[in-house]
Amino acid sequence: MRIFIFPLIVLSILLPACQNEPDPTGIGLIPEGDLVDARRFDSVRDSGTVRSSTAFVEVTGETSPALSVGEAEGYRARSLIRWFTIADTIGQGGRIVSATMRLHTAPYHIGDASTPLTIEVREVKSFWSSFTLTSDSLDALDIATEPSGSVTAALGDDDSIDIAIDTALVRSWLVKLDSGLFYENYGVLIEAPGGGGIRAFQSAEGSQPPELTIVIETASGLDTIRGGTIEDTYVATGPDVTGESGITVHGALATRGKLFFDISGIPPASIINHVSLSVTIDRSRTTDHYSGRDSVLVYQNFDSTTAETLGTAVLTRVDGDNPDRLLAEGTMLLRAVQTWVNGKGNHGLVLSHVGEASDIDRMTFFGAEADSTRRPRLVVTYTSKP
Amino acid sequence: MKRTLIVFLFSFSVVSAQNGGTIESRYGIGELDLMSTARQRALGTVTSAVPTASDLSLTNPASWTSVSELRLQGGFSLEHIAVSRSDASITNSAIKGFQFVMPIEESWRLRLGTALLPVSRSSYKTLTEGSVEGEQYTGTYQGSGGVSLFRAGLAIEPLPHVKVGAAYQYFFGTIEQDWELQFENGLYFPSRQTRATRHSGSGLVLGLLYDGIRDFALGVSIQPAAELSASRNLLLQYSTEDSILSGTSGTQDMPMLLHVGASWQMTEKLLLAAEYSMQDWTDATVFDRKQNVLGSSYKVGVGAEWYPYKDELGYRTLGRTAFRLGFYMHQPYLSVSDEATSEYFITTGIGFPIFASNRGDIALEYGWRGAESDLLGSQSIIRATFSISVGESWFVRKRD
Repeated sequence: MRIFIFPLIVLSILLPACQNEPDPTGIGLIPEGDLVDARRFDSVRDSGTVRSSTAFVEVTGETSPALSVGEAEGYRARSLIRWFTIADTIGQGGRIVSATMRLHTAPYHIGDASTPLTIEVREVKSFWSSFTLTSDSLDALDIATEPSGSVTAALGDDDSIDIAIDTALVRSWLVKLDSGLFYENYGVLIEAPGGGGIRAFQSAEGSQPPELTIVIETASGLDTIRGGTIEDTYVATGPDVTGESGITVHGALATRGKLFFDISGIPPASIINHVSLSVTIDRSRTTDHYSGRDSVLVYQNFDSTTAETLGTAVLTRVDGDNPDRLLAEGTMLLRAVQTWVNGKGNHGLVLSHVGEASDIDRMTFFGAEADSTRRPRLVVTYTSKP
Repeated sequence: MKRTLIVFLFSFSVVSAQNGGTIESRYGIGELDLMSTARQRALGTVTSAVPTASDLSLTNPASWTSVSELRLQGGFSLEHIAVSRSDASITNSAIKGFQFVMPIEESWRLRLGTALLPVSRSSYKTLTEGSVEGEQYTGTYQGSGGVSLFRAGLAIEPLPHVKVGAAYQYFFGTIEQDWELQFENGLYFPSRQTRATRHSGSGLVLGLLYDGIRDFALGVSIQPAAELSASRNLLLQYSTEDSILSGTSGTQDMPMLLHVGASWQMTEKLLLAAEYSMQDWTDATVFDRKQNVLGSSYKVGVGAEWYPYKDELGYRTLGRTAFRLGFYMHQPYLSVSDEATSEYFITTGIGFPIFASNRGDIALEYGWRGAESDLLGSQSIIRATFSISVGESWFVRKRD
């Protein structure tokens, strides 16, 4: 009995697992309509409509690692800084002997770096926040007409500058902090009028943030106290590039590029396997005063009427065959195109400067009007449906 | 022990009551099962006119009257197909379902029968290589699933030697077709598409068994044409974790299936049997569409069963051991490229007692089909089928 039963049981367990590795045998028997393959859509080759433009967006500089100051080449940069805490706050007590703000340079400049720059500090008398401050709202701030401090110096790439600040202004900060009115300390505006150039200093995000040093005399002698928590930002203005041809992404000026590809040549609901975007840099209209990186961030556009970004970005890389061409590929692009193919709204792509919050640099790409070798190109690999 | 075995076999049968297949099973509803036990396969797949108390026909419910005690029968098969073109081979296995018959009344030999049986199975996996502008990829076409049926009915002997049976059949099952593209470049997202066709519907099977002419028996069974409901979904797996499930519905024809068989108990030790069956799929719709590759299917089988030591003293086990030999020619319902490709099988097997009235059967088949000019080339097929039939005397009153 067991001689028969147990082999049957073992076989009934093992046999369902028997299956050879698949091979191409009989592939010719698949009905033609059931065959699927990978196909490629090329916006250049397949004459897909491409639109490109440059758009302005509201961008703030609260995350900028550099605070730019000065005027040059049509740009104007101003910075704001304030201290929320100052160690050993004494309010009305003691006599302030001196108050000095030290700024450490960042290795970026526009104009002749050897030219001495006159930097002025003015009291800000109304509320601002680095999270909301733009060039328009900066102009609306109440700012003292007379400087509270000024210095002229030629600055190197690894340098620092000390600016003596009016002790009465610093006394007002100490009084407010001693009274718990932290947010009524509006700090100072730092600017360098006169067109002598633009210099960048390290912000609170940098390794050497701005320093405030106050020497105070009390009954027990001289004492030195320092500023603590900082809020800073900077705002730049410059030429309007939104009407120019091509696509310009501009750091600090909050201009982004917009790209739209008509992908109606791809059958709806197809599975997207890969997406590659390439754009070509117009070197003659590109600057590299700051980090000068040959890359740009590519986002999915949230709304085609604006240049607001959706989700995370993909960073481009330089094409090994053409140093002027930047390539983007990755999950973000794949999902963006899949969304479009699935009929969920093709709002296009947004290009933004890698140093959008900090670098006063422009990167211009050839737009949709350029010849086929230089215009933006989208290559999509997709799978046909049975 | 016996009950454990029954439960074990039952559970396996429920999980997968389906038949094995090749890439040809992509067409229609897959490769159709011949609905034969191991004994019947060894007899050249003669099914309708060779009932015994332990081997029940899977096509003729009238055979249930042969049962004298509660009986459960099930089995599985292992198949190896060698394909001449590309020198490839395919191995697969399948559970062959189960059948359960219970005596209700003796004077009319009223029997209640149920079964879970495979009707068809789609089972294949094949590859193709491709490239799109230099990017290499592998395409995989895979099919799985099939149609099964649940059967429940009654059999009775209203007149001496005239046995009839009828059963309700509920067809069910899903056939999935998968398409998968995998790129060599890891930056490419692999695509997977699955088309699942679900079937459900009702039908009947009617059977007649007549053994009133000396040692002859005649069996006829018919499954009238049925129309199944079918629904189809296409599932697309996207990188966005988003899938589109587009559903459509239609109908699936199950054409009339006819079995006509006869057996002759030539001597006490030798039984001869033959059968013809046919099912015409020419005008059948598969999901609301007629498939040109489907045609008329038929099968002719003959076989012999020999008990060389039957009733001989000194041969307790061998006296109940049967040796079988058969042959059948089968024209499947699939004819690719307008050519009907017939199958020819030589069959053999043995049947042996296990304990009490329980029996085991093993069948071996060797067959061939196709020609070198076919897309698959010629195919050599070796198939082994195992069946076990377990009887229990539940509800049977013992005499003092």
